[in-house]
Amino acid sequence: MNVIAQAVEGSIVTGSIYGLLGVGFALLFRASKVLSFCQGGFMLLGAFLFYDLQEPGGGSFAVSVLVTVVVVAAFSGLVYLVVFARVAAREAFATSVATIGLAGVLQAVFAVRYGTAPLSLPDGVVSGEAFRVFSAVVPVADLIAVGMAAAATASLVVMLRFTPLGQRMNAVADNASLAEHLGISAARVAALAWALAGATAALAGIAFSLRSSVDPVGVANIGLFAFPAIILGGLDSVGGALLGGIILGAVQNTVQVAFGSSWVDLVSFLVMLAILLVRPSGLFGRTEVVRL
Amino acid sequence: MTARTPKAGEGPLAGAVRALARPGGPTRALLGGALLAGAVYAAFGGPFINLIGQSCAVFAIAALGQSILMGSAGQVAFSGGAFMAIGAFTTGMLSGTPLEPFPIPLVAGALIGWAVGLVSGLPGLRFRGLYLLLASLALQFIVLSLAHTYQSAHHPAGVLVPPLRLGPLDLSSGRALYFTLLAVLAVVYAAAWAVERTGVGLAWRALRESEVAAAVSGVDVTRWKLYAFAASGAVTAMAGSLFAYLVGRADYQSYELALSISLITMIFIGGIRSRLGALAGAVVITTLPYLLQNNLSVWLGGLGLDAGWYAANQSQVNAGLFSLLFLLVVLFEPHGVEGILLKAERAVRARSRHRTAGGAS
Repeated sequence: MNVIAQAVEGSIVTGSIYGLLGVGFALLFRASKVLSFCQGGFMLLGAFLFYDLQEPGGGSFAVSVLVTVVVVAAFSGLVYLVVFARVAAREAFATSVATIGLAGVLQAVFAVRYGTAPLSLPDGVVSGEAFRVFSAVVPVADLIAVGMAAAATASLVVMLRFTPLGQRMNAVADNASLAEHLGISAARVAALAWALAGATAALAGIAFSLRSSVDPVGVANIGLFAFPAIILGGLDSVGGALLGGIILGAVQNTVQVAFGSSWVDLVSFLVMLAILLVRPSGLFGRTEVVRL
Repeated sequence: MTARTPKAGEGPLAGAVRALARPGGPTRALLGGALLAGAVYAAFGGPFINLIGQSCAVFAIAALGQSILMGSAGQVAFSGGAFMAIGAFTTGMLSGTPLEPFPIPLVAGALIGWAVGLVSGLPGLRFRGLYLLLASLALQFIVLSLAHTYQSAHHPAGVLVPPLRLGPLDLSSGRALYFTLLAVLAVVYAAAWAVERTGVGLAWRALRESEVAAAVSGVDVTRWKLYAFAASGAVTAMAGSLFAYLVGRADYQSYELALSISLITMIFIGGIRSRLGALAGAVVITTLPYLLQNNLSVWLGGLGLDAGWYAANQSQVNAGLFSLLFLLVVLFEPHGVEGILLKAERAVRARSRHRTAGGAS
């Protein structure tokens, strides 16, 4: 019972981190039809920036989180405007392929700057306390991770549904050229989506660094291992991304307990391949996938 | 195409001149000439140059394999590393069995690569573009994870591969190995060239331009797309098998996603639509680390900069540089070196035409 409860807790927490990355993918895909392979790179930026800000004698937790999120969001939006915007408008596919290059650049920069050995945050960044919920041990760090994922996803969903800005983003997602004719700047919406995706990736990086030590290769890979989650949820569904993340977390934990950790990647990507073959729109995506 | 058949009574020299005069002819001649010169230089250079030449030949085969899929049939995939791993691990697993003698592992790797390629093309039947890219990413991770599991269970230090021997001939090192690899490259290149000139090549080109238009004009889209995946898988797996012979072992760490990306970089940097471009890209990307290793510290030192950080982080810096190169080429110069040469050629032509026209009037 204890083991099962703990596994459920672990699934929800890993799932939240995948979900935080995933909502960013979904936002980007909706706004610019670009599938970003460098969300892991932005997550890396968030994790290490937060690490630097939290060095002994560093600022308070809340300030560090805020600074990290704002800086990564600005960087992400700026990268889009400077590097990708001109090509993305014409060739979303080539841009998607190119983003994997950006991921490599970011990973290399961080590997040179911080080395490839895992780094841990100093003790006492968050309280080491833990609660017991249904016989599972829930540390504060896990609560923060889940809370950030829930808050970020909820506010994005509310924004998309109820604010004028969200409506504009929906219009671009629905039909970019029609939206342009109605006076919406698709480029501006896309830049904003990149900034928001950077912000969620930064949160994912922070959540991850609170729970485990960070190293450039490991964190950047999480950006790729989140793909099964977003395919599960549906590429263009923001809420689906979070749910997909939690399902993926559950699958991974089950596999780990049942067969051992060396089967986790294999099963995750087999699930992804199966979904691509059977139901490429995922659980919540729109079924408009045949791209000619 | 008719222009290539020499007219009656025309000597081979005149035919060559006509080939050179066609649009794109000088570009091809320049690229091909440079590659040949490089190949000869590597053959008669010292052992180190020879070694670099061997890697170039192996990666040229891999780049050719990938360019069948991406250049000819227009399907981008992140699974090149996985197919090389398939060839390498097939070779490693056959060593110590009766099937160990040389061409057998190579052929077996190619066959398995063909089969896996065929299967990997299945998602591509429903859609292309992003979803196919994701399916290839999944394949890359699945194959690597299997290789990792197998390797750590049976051969923690990598699966050993015996030295390359053909019957009594020792081809395991030096010039003998280099010429063997070049011979395989030549065969693969000739086969790709020949296939391209048949209806298959035409079908692939039609797929690349527009699948709908191809289907409407009677091209069996399903079939030729699957064959493109299979052929690409087979050739890339052959390269993997040869790479295992070259380094003496199959280690999953050599075939991670980074390798897939550098294979794509090769064909983009050389020119996605051309086989010569793929070879040129393979040579550039393979030799660049050696060049940087030997020269960058000197250049940086000459500029008065401290080169210590480069020496300390060489592999990371190189990986970053390659990623940057990839990013820039894909976004801003998707036809690579070949595209730049073609542009230059067109400019020269336009200029000389202008001059002749001016002189005549």
